This record gives sequence, C-alpha cells and structure tokens, in this order.
Amino acid sequence: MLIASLFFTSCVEPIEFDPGDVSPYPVLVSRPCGDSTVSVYISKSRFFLANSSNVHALDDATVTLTVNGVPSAGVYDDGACNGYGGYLFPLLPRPGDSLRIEALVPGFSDKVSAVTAIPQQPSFEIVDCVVDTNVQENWGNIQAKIRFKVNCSGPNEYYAVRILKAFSASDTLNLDDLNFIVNDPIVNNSNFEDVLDGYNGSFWDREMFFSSELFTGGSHEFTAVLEYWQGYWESFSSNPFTLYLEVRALSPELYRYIRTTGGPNSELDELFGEPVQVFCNIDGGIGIFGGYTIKRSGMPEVHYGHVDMPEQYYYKSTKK
Amino acid sequence: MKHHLICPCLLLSLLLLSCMRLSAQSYTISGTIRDDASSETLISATIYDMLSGKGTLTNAQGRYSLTLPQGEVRLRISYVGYQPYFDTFQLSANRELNISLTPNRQLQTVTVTADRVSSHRSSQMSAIDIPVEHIKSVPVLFGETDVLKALQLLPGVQSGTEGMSGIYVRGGGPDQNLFLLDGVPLYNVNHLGGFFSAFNADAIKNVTLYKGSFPARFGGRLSSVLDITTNDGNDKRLHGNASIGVIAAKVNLEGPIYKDKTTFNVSLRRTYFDLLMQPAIMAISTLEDMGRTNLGYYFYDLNAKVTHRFSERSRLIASWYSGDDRIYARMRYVYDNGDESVKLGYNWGNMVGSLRWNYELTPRLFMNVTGAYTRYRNEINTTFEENEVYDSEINYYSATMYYKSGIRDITAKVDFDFQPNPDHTVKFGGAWVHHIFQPDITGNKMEYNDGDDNLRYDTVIGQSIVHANELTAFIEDDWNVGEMLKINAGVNVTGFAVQGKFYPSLQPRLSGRLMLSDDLSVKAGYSYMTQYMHQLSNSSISLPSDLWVPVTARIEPMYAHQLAAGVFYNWSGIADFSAELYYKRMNNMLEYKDGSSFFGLSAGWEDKVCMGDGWSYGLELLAQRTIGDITGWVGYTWSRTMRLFDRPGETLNNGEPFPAKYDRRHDISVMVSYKPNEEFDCSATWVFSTGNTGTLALQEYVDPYEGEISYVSSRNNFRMPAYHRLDVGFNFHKQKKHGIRTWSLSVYNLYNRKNPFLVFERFDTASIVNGVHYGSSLVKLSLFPIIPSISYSFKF
Repeated sequence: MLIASLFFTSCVEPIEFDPGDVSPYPVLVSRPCGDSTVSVYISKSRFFLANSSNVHALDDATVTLTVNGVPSAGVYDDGACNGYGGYLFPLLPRPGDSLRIEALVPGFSDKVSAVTAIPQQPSFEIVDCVVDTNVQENWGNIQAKIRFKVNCSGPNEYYAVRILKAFSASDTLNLDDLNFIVNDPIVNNSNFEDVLDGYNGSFWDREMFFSSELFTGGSHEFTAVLEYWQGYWESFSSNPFTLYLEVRALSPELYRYIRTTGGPNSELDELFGEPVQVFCNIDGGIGIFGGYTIKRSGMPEVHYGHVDMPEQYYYKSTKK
Repeated sequence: MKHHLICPCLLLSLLLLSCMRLSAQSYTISGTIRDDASSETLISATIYDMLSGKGTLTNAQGRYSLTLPQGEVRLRISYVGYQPYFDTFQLSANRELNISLTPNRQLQTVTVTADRVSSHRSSQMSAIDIPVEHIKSVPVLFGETDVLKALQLLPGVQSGTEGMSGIYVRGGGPDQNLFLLDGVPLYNVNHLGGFFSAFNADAIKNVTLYKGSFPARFGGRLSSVLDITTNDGNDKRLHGNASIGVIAAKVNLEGPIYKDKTTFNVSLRRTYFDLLMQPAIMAISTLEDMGRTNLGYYFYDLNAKVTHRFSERSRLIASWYSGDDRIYARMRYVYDNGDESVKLGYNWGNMVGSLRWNYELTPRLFMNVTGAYTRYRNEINTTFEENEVYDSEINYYSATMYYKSGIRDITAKVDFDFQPNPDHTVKFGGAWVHHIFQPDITGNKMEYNDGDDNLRYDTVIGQSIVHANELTAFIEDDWNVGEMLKINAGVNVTGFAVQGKFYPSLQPRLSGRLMLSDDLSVKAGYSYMTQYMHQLSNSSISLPSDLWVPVTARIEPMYAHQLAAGVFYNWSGIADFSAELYYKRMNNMLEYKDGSSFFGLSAGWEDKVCMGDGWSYGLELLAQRTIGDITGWVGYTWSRTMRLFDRPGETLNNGEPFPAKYDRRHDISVMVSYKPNEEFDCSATWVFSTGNTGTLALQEYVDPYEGEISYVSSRNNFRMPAYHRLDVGFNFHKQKKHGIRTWSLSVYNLYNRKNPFLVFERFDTASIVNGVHYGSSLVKLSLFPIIPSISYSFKF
C-alpha cells in the first residue's frame, strides 16, 4: 500500500537541466585494414536532446592520411564506409605501418587527428574439425567442433574470431557468420579484463574477442562449437559448402572501441549499471581510428546430403 | 612493514611507561552514575575533582574510576540535562560512590556535541553524540522517528537518495559504516528498501557516531562507526510507552523483574497496513473469484533486554534484536474435484543476540565479556500444490522454489577499562569473529504422484558457503599529558583468514587536543582503518538482495587513511562552534564496471567490479545552541569526493579521476527546536545539498559499422538539481491521570519541493519524423511531495 501510495503521489516532470556546451563534436570513424583501401567517415554528433536527425557523412572536409610519414589526400565517395559515404585514399597500408589521420571539418576550428598502426598478420592453425549430425544437446541437433590454435607473438595483442560459411564451396564473396560457443577452462575461469567479450562458456555469439593476456602472450588452443537445427543445414546442403575460420588482429584502440560499443551485458545491467563509456582516440573530436589485419582459412568442403550423410563427419586438417 | 610497526610500538611503550607512574598515596573512587528516575546508567557523565582539576567520564556501562591523591576531594558529577551532584570528603581509602542524578526539568537542552560535557575539552574529534530525545523531536517522513535520518542532518553525514536512510560519511560508501547495536554488528539497517531504518528510537539510550579519529577499540569499516546502546530498563517500577502513527504502531515496556536487581526492556514496532487491508483483499478476491487470497507486506522490530545486577560491580546483560521485512501472498482455490494453492514468502532481516558480563575486577580495572550471534538473511520461498481426484485416484503435484543468502557472525570478545591514575584511561581487549558467508543458494523441488507414477526432483544450485575468521586486538590510552594537552593513542591489530588467504593489518590511531584557553581548543587526529568485506548492491535503493561478500584472493581488503584537524570553541556554556578539516584516502575500493550491475546472484561478481582508489576532503562547520527555549544548530559541509580506477585491467573513465556518485560540494542543515513549556514543543529542519552526480551520454553519432553510438564523455558527468526541503513538527503534551499523552503533527517537505529521486530520458518514439528526433526530454521522478502525518503516543 505504501508503495502504491508512493506511485500515486510521485510525479514525473522535466528537469531544469543545464548541460553546458551542447554544440556538436566532429566525428571521425575509420578502420584501416592491412592491404586494403582506407576509408574515413567524417560527420558530427548531435546533442541527445536536440530536435534534429543524426548527421550523416560530411563531404566538404579536408582529410589527410599519412602512412609512414607519407601524406595523401582523401577523395569523397558516396559509396564508401558501408554506403554511408566517406573519404577514400589510394593507399594499401601494410602490416606494421604507422598511420596518422588529420581532418579539417567545416564548422570546427580545431583540427581532428588520430594515430594507429596496422597490426601484423595473425598466426593461427586449424587443428581439426568434427561435424556430428546426431547430437541432442542444447538447442541444436547438428554440431560442429572446430579446434584451432592462435599463436600470439607477445603481450598486448588483440584478436577477433569469426566462423563463416560459404553457401557453396567456391563462393567466398557470400559468407554467412555463424553463432558459436567456446568451452574452455581458461575462458570460463578468466579473471582478466580485456580478454573476452561475450564468451563465458554459456553464451552464443557470432564473434569472439580476446587478448594475448589470456595465455600470457603464447599460443592457445580453442574449441569452437556450432550447433544448428538440421533444417538450417539442409537449406544449403544440396551443394558442398566450406566453413572458414577468420581471425582479425586488432590494434589496441580498435579492440577497446569494439568492446565498448557492445553496450551493457544484459537488460538488467542496462537498467541498473553505469552506461558504457565508448572508447575514443580522436583528438579534437570523437570516434575511432583503429587498424586491423585479417586472415581467413577454409576447411575442406563439407558434403552434407539429405540421406547419405554419415552420423559423424570427421576431418583432420593439415596445418594452414 | 617494519617501518610500519616501529611507530606504534614506540608509542605504546611510552604510554605503558607513563601508566606506571602511580602514587603510593593515591586512592580510587569508583562507582556507577544513574538516572534517578529510571535507574538507567548514564554514559559519558563527568566526574571531576575541582581541587586537583582531574576528572574522568563514565564508560558505556555507566561505570567510572578516578584515582586521586590522599586528602580532600571536592567532586562535581554532571551530565547534560541533569542537576549536577557535589560532594566533598576526605579520601583516605578506596571508595565506592554510586550516584543517581536528577533530571533537570527547568533546563531542557538539546545538544549535539563531540562530548556531552564539553566538546572542546575531549581528545575525541569527529564524533557526534546525539541524545535520543533530540532524535525523537526531528520531524521526519510519515512521522516515523528515524535515527539515521536524524544523523543525516549533521555535518559530514550525507543522505543518499530522497527519503532513504543510508548514510554516506566523508566520501565513503554505504557499506563502509559499522552499525553496532549493543556492541554487535548489524548488517542490514534498512526497512522497506531504505525508507526506514531498523532502529526503534523507543528502545535506544545512546547514539554515538564516529566519522573519523576512530578510537582503537573500533575497526572493520572505513568510514564510520555508529554505536547504539539500548535501554536497560527501569528498576523501580513499570513504565511504558505506546504510540500509533501513519505507518507503524509501537509499544515499549520496561520495569523491574526483581526490584533493584533485575530489569527488562521490551520494544516492538510493526507496520499495520497489511492487517487493515486484509478484509478488503479477501473481499476483492471473493468478488473476482480468485479463491481465498491473502497478501501483504509488513516489517517489525523487536528489541528485548534483561539486565541482572549481581552487585554494583557485576552485571549480566542479555539483549536481543530481531527485525524483518516480510512480503507474503497465499492463494487457495477449491474446485469440484480438487484444489490448488500458491504460497509466496519473501523475508529479509536481522537477528542479533548477545550476552554480556560486566565485572569490576578492581576499582581501577573493569572487564566486559561478550558472546554474540548476528545474522542477516534474505529468503524467498514459493510453493505450488495441486490435488486432483480422477476416477477415485488422487493426483498430487507440488513444486517448490527457494532462494537463500545471508551472513552470520559468531563473536567472542573481552575488553577492559583500566585507569591506573587520573591521567590515563586505558582500554584494551581482543575479539574473535567467525563469519559465515552464504552468498546465494537456489533450490527446486518437484513431486508428482498420480497413483501409478511417482516422480521426485530435488536440486540445489548456488555458491558454496564461505567461512572466515577475524581476530582483533586493541589498546588505546586517553592520556592527559598536561593541563593543556590530551592525547588518545592506540593501535588496532587485525587478521582475516579466508579461503586459505590471511590478511593482517596493523592500524595505528592517534588524536590529540590542545587547550588554547578555557573555551578554545584545537584538535587533530589520524586513523587507519581496514575493511574485509564488501556489500554488493545495485543502486541507491537498499534492496534485500544486497549481498555481503568477503575479500578474496583477488579482491583485497579496503583500507583508508584519514587526517582531521579542527578548532572548537565553547561560548559561555551556551553555544558551541566547531570547524573541522578532513582528508581521507581510500584504497582498494570497488566500483561496478561500465554496463555491469549486481542483482541477487553473486556468481562471477569479481568479474563485474573494478578495484581502485578514492579520496575525499572537506570542511565541516557546526554552530549549535544548547541551552534555552530555542535550541538547535546550523551545519555546513564543503566537500569533494573523487574516485580513481587506473590499475591495469581495472580502468574506469579511461583511467582518469571522476567524482563519486555522492560527491556534493555543499551540504547545509538547519535544525531549530522551540520548547516554551512542558505542554508544547515544535521543531523545524531545513536541508540543502548539491545534487548527486550521474552519467549521461550527452552526444550521439553514427558509426557506419556499429550503428548509432551514444557517447559518454566521462563517468558521473552530470549533476542532478540541488536538493532542499523543509520539515516541521509540533508536539502537544498533556499530563493525564496515568501518564502523558502526546499528539504529534509533522509535515514533510512543507513547500512541496519536487526533489529528484531518479532522472531519465523520456523518449517519445512517435516523435521521429523523417529521421528527425523531436520531443526527447530529461525528466525527474519525484517521490515525496508535501506529506503531513499524525501520531499519538501515551507514556506512563
């Protein structure tokens, strides 16, 4: 009754709120990838209570990318940056290159700048892959177990892992990222921050992030488990298909950014926890400038017929 | 570590040597000081020899010991609110002098002083001794007297969120306060989510809050110690007090069981809304064809104390407290061929039992032995049962789910008061506490029986019970170095053993007072405190699911250094003024990581928190008038409280300092009480404080790869509007044939200030037109508008 009376007497009304300076910040978002064209998205932020739409790409900025001390100017392209529009650079930075970005954004007096580096190519190997079609655990009845080993060369290295499926063995352009889970004593008992994101042995996700801190800079072998309903696999099983293991080596800044854009861990955390502070490494603005490299390795074709499929498919890989 | 040990050891050696200085012609006067009307012992009464200028105070049991040279003694025994007692005699042998002081009806006073006699003369600083009469006179929410809310009106003590009982002392968190009820810790001091505290003022004799310069006898928390002593009971005749208010009804009875030997004191408080609502709920459930339904919520507090006096030198005290919050729901539905029932019970609360033996070994040495048990538990039970008859066969189905968490302590301790000579009052002792942490256990039971099949299912999931042992030893000396200088020095040594790990801690304490004139003194103090447990809680609201957990191999004990210094001035015995500066450094504090919270289940809690540091500094000013018809005080605190989490893997706010949630620059409290005669008194309080901080994402932007991003520039980057409120209360007393009746009227938030309880963004999704956001606003939820209340009490 008391609680009811509190609700009855309580009231909600706008707050007298002085947020101070609500003017927008220049935004720079770029994820340069080794051996790929660099694209840079420039826009500006909006005050969260402003009656305005989110500002999309600004096409009148002056953007300069310097790779290992050699500058180049960017050219605006409507189709760049996932179709949001951005500045393209005729450069293919190599692993190990140092990058600096500078932008003069109309409406902002200060220059926006950031630095990053392209990490070295990740080193990993697939140990084996087992596909079992007759499991009755969790929520799937088709299970794939992929054992792979990631070799870190030292501390402060950051990785992201995905498992992808090509709809047909030769179609590497159309890849579907799959949900998987990692059952690993180190992963499950990890006390490290910045080690894993979204993986605690009971949570399925499409991407796993970790740092070399997990295994003190050395190698570690993971087992990724994928489970699907038979009908899902059958939908693309008329042709042989290939599973790919993709490992990205991330710069520290990109790793922290991706981790923090994931938001709270749960709805309760969103309600009761502190808002997640998104990482930013842009001087004079907000956003991210973080490099990465990518490496992908395919397992030999999986032939999965409606009738002929053996109960267990086993493949022992050769070293990649 | 070696360096750490040298200073306290040298200090102790010096103290012990100085204690040896005993005169061959000295004799000891000892005894008990009591209230003449109730025979309650008086704590911190002054015994002062006007010829030698030596004096002492009564201890927590009302006992004193004063060793003086042989010869004439001119004693003055005084206590605020009582007529002083004078006696002159020749001291030629040890003497027992038990005095009962008479309450002074002509000189009603309300005092909040660092020492009831004279705050500026005591070596203790940063302590508040608040009379219970004053606690009762403070107008509060729903008219329900509340010890903690009265303390929130004092400098250096901040309230949390609107209406809550939680206290935040000098930048510390709510789990850094040690609440002692008759010397035994209480883990959850809140009812109804924190709107009311667990302390029933009718059962309380004395309340002392230490904010800093902690005496060595206290330890275990970083920020404060609230030492509450309950009434022993009147040993002359039966007395009582009954009252009923908007929320709760209370009854208090005290009296002799065996005259002049054994007394009792029993207090019960219970909310009664559930009882009033029961007929209505039954009627509604019948009307709605819901079967027999009963549901409700209540909380209660039961304090009981029995004191047996073997002699003036020996007392045995048994005390008990239990307080629970209970939510219950029962529903039973009967149909043609069976019935089904649902039961829900949600209980949380404390239970404390203690047995103490006070014994005066010699006139100079007083012993106090305590055995105690304290428990906080949080339990949920739900049961569903169904009986069905099919073809003369009975089908039975039941499902039960329960959840349990809590903490239990078993304590054994002994402490001594020793007064070798008038210049030294030494306290020493030791304690062993066995902690039993039960983080959380969930159980499920299911049973099905249809005559042919019989199915049973029983499982328990949860964290295993953690046992920990805490050992403590302490020694402190209140030392009159000379006429001007007084020092309180001591050391508290603790060790905490948990899960194969042992954490030792040596905590020196030092405070001193220098009299610059009869009215003016300066004081300074240093204390080092260690805390071995944390409370996992979620928000500013105190939830029953808040869980106490011990330190672990990874989460180390918290510790704090605090320095304080101040000036104290007494103006002709009419008013006191004080100004205190403090600086507190806290290490190994916990904060939740971004996007993490705690909600009941402790599994993986270590991964959700970061360990870091914090500091707080401030200035506390207090001006109070203690004598006359109009009494009260004005308190002001300027403070700053920061956190820094920059350890590798434990960073928050990018490793930059950020303000704590309850960092408030200004806190003002004004309390005025007016008592023109015995039939009427009134009081008013006004509080103002800078708003709490919070974290808001003030900017948004689009990331082509991640979507819309809300950008938080820093933690606690937003400050809520300032908080202020005026409360008034009026008491009308009338002497009746059998006692005094009192009507109390109070108005909470007289000018209807809409203070924020929560702030959030109100977002109308219908207001997005062509991608443009319209109508977003930041709103506050205010819980308590102007709330009048009334209560009636009768004292006999």
